[in-house]
Amino acid sequence: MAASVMSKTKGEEVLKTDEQTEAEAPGEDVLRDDPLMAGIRKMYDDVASEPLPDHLLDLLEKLDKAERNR
Amino acid sequence: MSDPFRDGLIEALPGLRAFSRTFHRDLARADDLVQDTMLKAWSKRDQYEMGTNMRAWLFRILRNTYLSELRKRKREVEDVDGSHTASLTSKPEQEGHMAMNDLRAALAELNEEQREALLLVGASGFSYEDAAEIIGVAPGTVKSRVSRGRQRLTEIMGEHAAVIEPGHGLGSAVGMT
Repeated sequence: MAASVMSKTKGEEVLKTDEQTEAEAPGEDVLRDDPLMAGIRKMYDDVASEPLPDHLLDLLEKLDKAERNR
Repeated sequence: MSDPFRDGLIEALPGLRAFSRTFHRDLARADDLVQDTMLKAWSKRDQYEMGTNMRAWLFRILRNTYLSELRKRKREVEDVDGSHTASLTSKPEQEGHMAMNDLRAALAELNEEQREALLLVGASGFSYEDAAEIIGVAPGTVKSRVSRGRQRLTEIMGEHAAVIEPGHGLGSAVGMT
């Protein structure tokens, strides 16, 4: 009766389905406490805390000016 | 004369620059992508609905801009500068942290889908829902990518032997004991 079910679990390594990995995904709050994620966030924050380059600020200025003259 | 659209754009710029570096290793190219994103966002400002998530809207524009540039370039030459393997390169003076460099290398080994999902949800602070909207897939797909990416990252870090241990450096930084 359960033979078909059992044969499914046989074999060497069973690849996880999308549904399984989806169900295993931690909540956003858990991710925030994960040391590995904290490392990625640190890398991200390092980039984000760099001063904005002049050419981007200049562009913003130009766009702003054009908008006001519209 | 306050312009909420302009203010929102300025506020999102640091994050956009960081997100851009998941696509381009070359810093100048990464900023070029941000610049193109700004121009595109500005030209579409009438389409933006005030009050909705502007950060997510901008991240989506950056991503789409990258993809259309990639398609255009692919017709010309294949990945000239190896920008596919880019992974949050920061200015040289900020490097030098051993564990950080290992993590950066590990992140570069992930496939782009997983890296992007981890970055959006793990680092940029987007919810699975928001990230799904930015990428244009179902939230379940983002969850699956985050889950697989995290798993893969752990494996790679294990292979490289230098693991970030909780209680040291990064771990303690998030209040783990």
